[in-house]
Amino acid sequence: MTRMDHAIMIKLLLVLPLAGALVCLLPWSVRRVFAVMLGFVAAECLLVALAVHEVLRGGVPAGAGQWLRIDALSAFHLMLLGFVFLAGSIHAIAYFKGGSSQTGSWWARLFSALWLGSMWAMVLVFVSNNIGIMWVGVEATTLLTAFLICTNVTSCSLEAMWKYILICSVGVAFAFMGTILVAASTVGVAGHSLMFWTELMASAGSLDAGLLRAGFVFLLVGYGTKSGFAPMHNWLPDAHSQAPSPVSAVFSGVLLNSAMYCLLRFMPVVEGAAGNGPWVHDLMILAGLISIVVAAAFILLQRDLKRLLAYSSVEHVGIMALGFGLGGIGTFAALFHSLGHSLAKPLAFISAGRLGHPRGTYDMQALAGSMRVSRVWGVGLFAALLALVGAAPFALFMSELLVARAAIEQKKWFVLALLLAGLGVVFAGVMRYAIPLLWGDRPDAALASSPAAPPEAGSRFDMLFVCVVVLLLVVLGLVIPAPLMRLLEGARAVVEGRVMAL
Amino acid sequence: MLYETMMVVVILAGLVILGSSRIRMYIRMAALQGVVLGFLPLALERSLPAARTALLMAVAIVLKGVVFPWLFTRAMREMSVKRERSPIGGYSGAIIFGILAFILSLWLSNKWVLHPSLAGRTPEIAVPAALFTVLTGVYVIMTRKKALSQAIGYLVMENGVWIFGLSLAGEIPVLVELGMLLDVFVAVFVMGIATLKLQRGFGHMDADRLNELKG
Amino acid sequence: MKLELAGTIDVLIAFLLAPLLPGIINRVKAVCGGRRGQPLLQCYHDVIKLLKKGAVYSRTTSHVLRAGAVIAPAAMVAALLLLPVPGRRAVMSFTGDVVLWAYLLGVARFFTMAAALDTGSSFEGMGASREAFFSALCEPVLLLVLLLMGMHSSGGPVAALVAVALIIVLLSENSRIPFDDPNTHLELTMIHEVMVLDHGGPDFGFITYAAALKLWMYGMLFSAAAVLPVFRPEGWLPQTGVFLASMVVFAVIVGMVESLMARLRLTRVPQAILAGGALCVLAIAFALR
Repeated sequence: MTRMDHAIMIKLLLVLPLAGALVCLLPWSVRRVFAVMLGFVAAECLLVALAVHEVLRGGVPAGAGQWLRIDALSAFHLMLLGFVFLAGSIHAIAYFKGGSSQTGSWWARLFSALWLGSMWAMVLVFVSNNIGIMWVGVEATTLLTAFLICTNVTSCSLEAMWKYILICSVGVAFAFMGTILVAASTVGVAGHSLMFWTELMASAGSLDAGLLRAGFVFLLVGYGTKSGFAPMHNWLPDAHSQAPSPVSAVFSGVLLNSAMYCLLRFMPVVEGAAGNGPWVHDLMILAGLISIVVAAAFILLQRDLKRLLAYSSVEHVGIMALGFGLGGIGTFAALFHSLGHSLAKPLAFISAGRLGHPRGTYDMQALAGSMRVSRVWGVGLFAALLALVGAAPFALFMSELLVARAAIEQKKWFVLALLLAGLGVVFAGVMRYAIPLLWGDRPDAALASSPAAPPEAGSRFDMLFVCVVVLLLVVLGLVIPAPLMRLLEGARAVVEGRVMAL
Repeated sequence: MLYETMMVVVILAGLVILGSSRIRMYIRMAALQGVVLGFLPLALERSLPAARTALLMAVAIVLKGVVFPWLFTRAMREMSVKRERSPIGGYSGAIIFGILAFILSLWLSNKWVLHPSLAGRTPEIAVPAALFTVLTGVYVIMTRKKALSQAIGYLVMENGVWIFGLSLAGEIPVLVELGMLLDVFVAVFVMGIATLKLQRGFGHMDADRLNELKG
Repeated sequence: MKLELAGTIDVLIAFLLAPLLPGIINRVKAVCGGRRGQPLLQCYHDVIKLLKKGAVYSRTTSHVLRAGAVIAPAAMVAALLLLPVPGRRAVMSFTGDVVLWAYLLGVARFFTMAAALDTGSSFEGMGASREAFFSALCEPVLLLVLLLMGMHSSGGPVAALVAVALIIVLLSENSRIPFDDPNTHLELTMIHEVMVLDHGGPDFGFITYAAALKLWMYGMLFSAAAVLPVFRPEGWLPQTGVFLASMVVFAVIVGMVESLMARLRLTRVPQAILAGGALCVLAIAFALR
């Protein structure tokens, strides 16, 4: 492909979901609108695949002057986005078909439009080369996804939405101040402020280290709020538990990563300035450890399945931050971890949704014995939970092992001890709930309260989906295919600041 | 001098919000801040393209001086709430916080040594005033109990960010600035709708009584 | 320390014109309320009438009550000697005279409060307690204002901030609305008036006159805070003219504030004074740059 093609492709990546969002608002019937939505998501995924392919061939697609750019890190995250949105869209249809939520056609159109709109915002985050536009994208994700939380209007979902909007907006405003500080640090170099990431990277060595440091603190707090670092994670369990399951899947699988991605963009810049290297890493390690410990503590107290999964997201974000903080093999591990997490968590949320939604509860005692209700989703949920706690053959086990190895290599024994303790607690805590959840005796109360709950067998397609994801998780745990390896290494090089801008 | 006067007005408006219990007062003060800050590009001695400056100013002033106050006043009427009630820390506590926050902002901004070329163009009071306004907004969000007050707190905070952006960063591409304004607009809009929904869903809009979700 | 003729004349002007200020304020309030109001010179009439009367003292009081009515006005007169007309020197001036001035006002307040407590009336005790509470809050703000006036004498936002803070302090110190209502006769809400309920005849005349002097002194401060940063007249006549004009403006401002505002709830008073303190801190931050 030529430069020209690249420019068209990258613009199309942005235009397609936006156009889709508008098209979905046209007066379609409920069935149609979901089909249209699925079509747009699938087309976007094809484009993403094309972009990843181009990056793997060694190209760096760019467009609109310097404004848009896809390097290995962007491509990697776009890939996650494609997968999660595709899976989420497919299951959104099934989820809302069997569910009890209001299904007017206007409501379905609005949902689809917001769904595609949030996809657009996240794509914008990943493809923009300007740190300001990147911020605009993150803020846009907050606003567009807010209404997805209270698709089913209850007092709880309203409460979750309110917390989500308020906490994330405040956090993201802090991120903007951080962005401004980073831009201000460049005035000494260029005479005016630089806001293109490539320019920032090119002049990272001569930027004002003090301002960058101040900026990074703001960025860490700001984007950290959005990506669910403890202690700014309060919105996360509420939003994840109240949102419809496909939306929870997107929240956990892409939204958190997109905020983390912004931090990754800034890490090499701040690190590049004189004397900031270890400091940035220490901050990330600290953020990661706090998240892991807090999540481990709260996982033990959960009764609600989706809240359990949400706290597990906090834990995994913590592990990623820890990996990025440790650097070296840790960076690779963290990237790989986010891949594994983005595969396993959507599966977990979708399975939980398919199990819990028809019965109108996610209380783990009420859901006990789920394996007998639906074998497909029971297996899916159990496999996802196993993967998430880091059981042996799955991809997440490998990445956690690599993070631990990074800690050992750097002789950070305290970090290692906390990490292992956290992982151990999470393993025990989740398994304690998971086994009765799947194989326990169904309580009579639950039967009485939901007489109309039919045992959902799960279609052949559902089975295929679960099998593919589980297989992927297992295979990736055993062997990483060469192209993926190249992509991961490329992304790692970007995070470590080894790839110079064009 | 013009710049300093603007900053004094903005800071005083922040203090009034901290010390007042009337939501109408919050709306007015936030709007006052917005309008004064809308004129901020004029007070900065910088040679920016006139069309660009005019566009930014117009958008900012219309949004913050007209649209937001209208939206909030409407929401206030619809929900028939006029007063904040017993915020955490009380009103005197809020003013003491304001004083401390201002001192903290001064101290913090003294630690950031701006590059000479930037320092020459940025009035020294800019950064502390921005930080103070942001802290005011965050404090209002954290201590006030009505959802509407919290939304206005967010607006105040955004005003602070606006000073920060205009004064500190030299030049930001206009696309970014407009994007930011758009985001703020949508955020406030979404918050407005959300407060209405809260009102209808719960029959009140006391954010501190939103405590069904725990752990 | 050096006595100056001009300063002495200023003091005489103060003695002569101080009771006019309450008259102007009351007239402004009356006009705002759509009334004709008392004569401008009402305060003079009151003082003269009171001085002609004989005094009655309750048998439960001691000499503290009588001392209060003498010492408080005396302290005011002494304080007046320390305060210059803007642009000139005071009768007495030395380093730190400002602090002495503030403390002379404190002496006056102390004896007024002691006299109020001496009567043994619970209402007067309550008034004294409020006076102590409010003035304890006001004192630091007042000192900050004085400090700022000393270190900064250019116009702009700082001068405006200082002037506003000063107005807050002086309204509270002189028992005006919104902190206290000089016209009220409901003991529960009064502060200054309730403290002097048991004074009568010449004693009360002195106290009324002292209150007018206190208001005059704060007017001088206001004049210094508001006029000096803008311009400095040269020569005796222009200085005196500008000064007197600014005093009239001052009285009008106080009158307007009193007609526009309602009395604050007691719990809101500390907050208002705190706000004055916040203004001072802000002004210091600006003045230090």
